[in-house]
Amino acid sequence: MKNFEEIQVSLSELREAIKRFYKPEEWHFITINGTDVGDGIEIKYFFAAYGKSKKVKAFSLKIDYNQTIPSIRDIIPSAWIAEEELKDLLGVNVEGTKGGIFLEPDSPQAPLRKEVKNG
Amino acid sequence: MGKKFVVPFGSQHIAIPEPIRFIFTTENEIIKSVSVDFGYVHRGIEKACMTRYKYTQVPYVVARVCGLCAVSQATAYCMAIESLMDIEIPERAKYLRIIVHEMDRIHSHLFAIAHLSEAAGYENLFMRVMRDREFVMECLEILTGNRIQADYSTIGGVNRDLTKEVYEILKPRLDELERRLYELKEIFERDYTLQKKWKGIGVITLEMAQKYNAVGPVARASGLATDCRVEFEYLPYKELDYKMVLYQEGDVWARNMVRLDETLVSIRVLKNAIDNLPEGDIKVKVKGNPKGEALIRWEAPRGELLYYVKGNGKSVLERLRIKTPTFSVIPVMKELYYNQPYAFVPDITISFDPCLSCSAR
Amino acid sequence: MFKMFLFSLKNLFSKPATLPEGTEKPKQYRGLIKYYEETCIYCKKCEMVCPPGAIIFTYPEDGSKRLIFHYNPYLCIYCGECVRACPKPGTLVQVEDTAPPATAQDKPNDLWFEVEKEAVESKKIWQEARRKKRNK
Ligand code: SF4
Ligand code: SF4
Repeated sequence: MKNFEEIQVSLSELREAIKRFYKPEEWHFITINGTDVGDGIEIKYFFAAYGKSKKVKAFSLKIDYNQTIPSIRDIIPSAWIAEEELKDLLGVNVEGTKGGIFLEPDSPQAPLRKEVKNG
Repeated sequence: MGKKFVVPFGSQHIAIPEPIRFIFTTENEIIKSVSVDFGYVHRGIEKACMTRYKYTQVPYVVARVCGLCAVSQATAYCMAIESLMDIEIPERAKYLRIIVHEMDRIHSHLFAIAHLSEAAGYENLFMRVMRDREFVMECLEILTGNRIQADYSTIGGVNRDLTKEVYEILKPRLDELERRLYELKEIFERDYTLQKKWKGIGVITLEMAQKYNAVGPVARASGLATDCRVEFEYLPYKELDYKMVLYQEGDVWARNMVRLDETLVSIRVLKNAIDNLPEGDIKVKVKGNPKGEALIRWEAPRGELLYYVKGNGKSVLERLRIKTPTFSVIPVMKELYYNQPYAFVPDITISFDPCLSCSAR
Repeated sequence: MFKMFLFSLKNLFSKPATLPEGTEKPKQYRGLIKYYEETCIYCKKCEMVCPPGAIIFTYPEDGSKRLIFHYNPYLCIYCGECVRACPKPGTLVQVEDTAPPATAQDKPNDLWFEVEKEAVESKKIWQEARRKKRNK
């Protein structure tokens, strides 16, 4: 059973939607999650309301493997770390990420992709 | 204008036994820029849970994400799967989960407090706090059968019951532990050197905590009321007289005091839980495979822990996402260093109680 | 501060807080797994649930049903899943001892990799033997 609210957005309206929605005093930005679903990557931005029980909202979008997503770190400054992780572990192109924080250069790249088999 | 110096902190540093590296550019001892690198110990636990282990085996795998909060990791995962599969666990299991989880919190917090006093150069206090921590570890050992890796929660309930004999041993120990914790609190409140060392250092304001989405004791020391135990009502914390600890100062001192006060709250919750333990089963049988998605926010000792699970009807999960508390406090930690003297860095870093190995997973 | 000073002074003369070596473990400490073959029905449930794969059954060549139990004490995490999964109580028992540290001479890894390989290979031979038996 799904226990959070999901809002589908498209790639072009993502930044606009988050900008309109996010207020630092009201919403706690949790993290960004990426899932390799086989024919692309599903990305979810999770937010939780302060002081209210069981209220979690997610902005969700699906992209192709080689698409670039815009960065939201000017709206939510703490998002950089989640974006770096998305870049390192799933190989998603996020604007402004430099990569290499979560993995070292000699480790397997984008290990959470489905095509990477663990040995 | 002084000369610029580049000072590396880590990836091995005596003040913090965890692999994180900061590179500070200082000017007259004042930090002007910071770059951070971590993830030296990426172990691929998420990947392993998504390819190799069945979902029923995963609680034992994720417990190895972190040593100090092993109980939180496993319990949070179990609760995520339970809310995904709509499993209602017995009331007794809920209470037992609270008991073990709060013991885990006490020993984790005491470790943080001890570590912070050591960084302040107060070895004597370090020894004392660690000695009292040993007391909790023994309680945990009696109840779960192991000191660190409790392996207590499983999907559908818990693995071991709290028997009458264990209750007889635990009860006086908890009273003794409470007495010792109050003693510790008195020491910390009165100590002159520690006040000098910690008050007003590394202040995180409420705005800053909100802006950078701080979690856990760090946020609560700045007056940001965020605590998953109150916000999410999966376990009956309300019945056990749980209250959130809030401080307004936001400095190293306040972060330490939040932890200390939380251990006192925890012990009250613990005692209430152990006395009012409902009768009944400790486990329900689980059938079928998970399908769909769910998430859980869970208050680990260091703050909000997120487990996101997605299943597709097979026995191996499609996605398991772990967001550990330290992952969320690194942005605010990085921001905090700007314009601080370099000498404060160890105290500030350790007051966050960072657990980098679990952030790198 | 004064209190802490007194405390340190007292500590100089008090017993160490750490437990001496050889202290008994508390009751029901989770430790190694003991296997009693008499009651085992070779259902392999324990092998299936074990998270690190510390239990492996290999197959006898003659195609009989008596599988051979292998257990790696160095791989076992003492979780107790196998004991709970076993349909025949008493076949697997968790004792309070833990594994002694392995030395290089013990070759814990190499020996275990061989068992893992053998489990796959012996299964083929076993299936072959069983087919022959049935066709007879
Ligand atoms: S106790 Fe756990 S790890 Fe050890 S053999 Fe049993 S299932 Fe495997
Ligand atoms: S689960 Fe028990 S009965 Fe089945 S094979 Fe293992 S030891 Fe034997």
